[in-house]
Amino acid sequence: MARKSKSTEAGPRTAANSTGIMKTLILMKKHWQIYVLLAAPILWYILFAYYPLAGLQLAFKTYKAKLGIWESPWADPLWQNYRALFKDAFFWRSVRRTLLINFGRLFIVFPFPIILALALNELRLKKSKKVMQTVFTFPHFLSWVIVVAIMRNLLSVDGLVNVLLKTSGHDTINFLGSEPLFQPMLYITDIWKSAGYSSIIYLSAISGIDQDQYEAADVDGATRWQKLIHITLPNIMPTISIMFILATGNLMTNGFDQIFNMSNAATKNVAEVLDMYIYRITFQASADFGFSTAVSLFRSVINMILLATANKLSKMLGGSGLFG
Amino acid sequence: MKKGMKKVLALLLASVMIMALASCGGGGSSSTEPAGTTGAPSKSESNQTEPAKTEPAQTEEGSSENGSGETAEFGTWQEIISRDYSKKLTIEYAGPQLTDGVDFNHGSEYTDWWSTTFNTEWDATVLTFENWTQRLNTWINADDLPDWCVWNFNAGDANNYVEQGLFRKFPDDWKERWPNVAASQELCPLAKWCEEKYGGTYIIFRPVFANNYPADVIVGHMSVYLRTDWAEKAGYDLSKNIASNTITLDEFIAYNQAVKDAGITEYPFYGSTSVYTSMIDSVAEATGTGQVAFYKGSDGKYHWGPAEEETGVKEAVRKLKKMYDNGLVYPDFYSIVNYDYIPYFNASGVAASYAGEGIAARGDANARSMKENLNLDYWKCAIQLILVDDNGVNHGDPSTNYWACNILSPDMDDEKFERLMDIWDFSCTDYGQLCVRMGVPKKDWDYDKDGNPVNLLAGTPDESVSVKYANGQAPVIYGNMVILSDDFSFANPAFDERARKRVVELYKTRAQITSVRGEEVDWDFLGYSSQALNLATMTYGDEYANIITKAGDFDENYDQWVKDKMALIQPVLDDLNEKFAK
Repeated sequence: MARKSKSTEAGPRTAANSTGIMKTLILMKKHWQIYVLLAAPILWYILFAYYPLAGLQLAFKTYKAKLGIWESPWADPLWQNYRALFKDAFFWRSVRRTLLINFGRLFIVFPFPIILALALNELRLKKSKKVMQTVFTFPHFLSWVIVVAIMRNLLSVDGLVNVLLKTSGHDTINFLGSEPLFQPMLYITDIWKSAGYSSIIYLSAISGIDQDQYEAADVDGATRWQKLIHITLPNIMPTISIMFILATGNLMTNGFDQIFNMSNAATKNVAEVLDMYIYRITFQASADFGFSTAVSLFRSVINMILLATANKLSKMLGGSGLFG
Repeated sequence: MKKGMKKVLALLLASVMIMALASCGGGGSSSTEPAGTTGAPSKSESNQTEPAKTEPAQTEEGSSENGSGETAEFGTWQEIISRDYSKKLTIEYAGPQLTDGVDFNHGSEYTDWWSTTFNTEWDATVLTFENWTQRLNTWINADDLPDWCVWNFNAGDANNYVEQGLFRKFPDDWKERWPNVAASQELCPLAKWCEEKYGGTYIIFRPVFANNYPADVIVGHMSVYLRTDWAEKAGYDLSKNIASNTITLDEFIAYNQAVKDAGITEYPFYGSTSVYTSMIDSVAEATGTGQVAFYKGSDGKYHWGPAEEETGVKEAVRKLKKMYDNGLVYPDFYSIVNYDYIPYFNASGVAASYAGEGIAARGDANARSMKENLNLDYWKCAIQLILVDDNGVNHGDPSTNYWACNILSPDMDDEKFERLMDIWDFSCTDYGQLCVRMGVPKKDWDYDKDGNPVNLLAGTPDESVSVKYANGQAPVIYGNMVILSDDFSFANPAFDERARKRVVELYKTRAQITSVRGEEVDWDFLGYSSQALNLATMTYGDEYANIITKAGDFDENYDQWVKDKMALIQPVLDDLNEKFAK
């Protein structure tokens, strides 16, 4: 009976499916230019994001270059790399440091692009708004190597800042070699470099707000501050939520370029985050790609868990999730 | 029309993006094609299909060669360059010590002579000391080595790589076919050890000393350079040091303090992290910087040098910390890279330097630079000394008389391999060494009537090969092929005679004051590798620099560092003691 009803239901569903596919194909044909444009990023993701996932098996293997990823023997025991990893006190320290730095980023660096977007939106003169936006966005296009070189010129013992301090009768400050200053300098340079560019997404969300709301507020005699707090901010809250969830998914990733370039022998203890740990064990000791992959996989799994948790929490609190 | 145009533009844009992506992905496959096989030969290439022969030259003994048409004896330089090099080859090379952007094939008369003589060109990848290990590790593990690479030998890795067939194995008869290279390997005890362990030759070591071996038991030639005129001005007496050719770390600190106190310079000493670690290396044992950090103690058990008082590591770091705290060193020293600290001494003018590359070359370069930049006579205002511990002993790594080694790709063509071996073999002859070190024969150097090499550049604006082929043209690839430049430093007529005499004098002193441990090589440890050792690997220079710059109590910081590291070190010690302890 159940079997019969299943077979009788299959007919309309198949028909509906084929109608759906047809509709999609028609739509694709109609908007083919968009799909052609989409081809390159899709290809990029397949080649550089999904295809390399197969290499994750190395986390459970003893890598042999001649045999390659697929033919290399499985580790004995299978969790050998993880056993060594979890015993390494420096690994756990790097995890702790990574989380510490990134929670700081989440609460210190994350709000800046929002504040900047709100401030830029309040500028009356269109021209000055564009100029300011360009000025704030520009640092994003400088590589960390350049940013750190500028930083060194400014902050080294004979750099501009220390020369000014010295000539004005103050003691010089060891900015580059100070462990306590390392983390604040990470945040300051990150804000300087990325706030302008990251604010674009919020500016775009602001531009999508229904202007009727502002007009109604004007009629009610609302001040600019009240409009900002009661109209602009609530309207961009879904975007903020999504950006926050995505940032949470990167809590175990620090931005290797920045830390690698900013760190030196004097600050190495506070700079060895997970990315630096992976770099060290991969390239400064004898290369053990299986072990490095094990660390990398561990990091990705934790990031995934954090992302899912943040998404769930956001939904539970009545906000937006990644998938609506 | 407008809509149609938009469609065409969108299509074009998408095509460009896809093409760009495809070309990114395609790069790897084209690079694996044997070098020199792609593309039609250019006009200049086709002109070079015949090897250019050097003019009939004199032999090392000073007699005319080949003029009578006699066949030169196998393995002599004349015989090597008379071989058939009619086919032009391009060999891939990767190594440090090269200058980026230089034409290594025809950028100067020097490179042109070599390229033309052997009808061979280099497809060179310039590595820095910062990325050297990383790049090589990546290439080796991807089984994608360039034809020839200079590798920082590591026995543990070598075992692994040879076992996997990631290095080219030399043919069994290679020693007979290239006797000069074979002779160079006799100078390096490690070469024999590797050959026996791996059942054949996979690695060619680059001897530091050849004719003058063993000039120094520990094959280290870092020296302290001081300003005698400033010492005098500051009232610091160096006479005892000048008489003994040595200086202790305490005396070195006292000298710098005196110069600073006299207000002569703000930061008397400039050096990079590697300079500080070399100083630690000279006055302590098993430091982990130049020397391995693990050693077998008198109890027959393995120990970790930095944790043991008897090695003197902690005391050496303490003294350098004192220098740092007293403002005797440039505070951002850890940001100085490569050899960038050297001009501070010989061009800007600071009180001291600690350098070693090239032995007599350094003294010679200091003299030239000080004259040019500071209008000072180096020989009157500076002195070169050996850094020793409080007992007057100079320490260093057990000698195996090499610095880095040559490895070849297993996929290298046989004809390229043979050509490369011919070039190496030529470079290991006495005549080849003169061509490497002194430049183009007959143009840059020649023999005098007594058969001694003469620098033809002396008295010309070029002065020497290093000046004539400056900006990375010399020594380029040839200078460090097999035998390194250090040995020739003793005899190089292009260097100021006073520089050469000074290093000979210092080496005589070194031979007397070198640590006994310098003669011992721990072959057990040398061949040891494990995951525990991998995890315990650290850049000791950075570790020591971190302790030196750290605020707070030195003993507390140092002991805490040792305690932290022991979590990684102890498994290695346990393993070593289980396998090799008495």
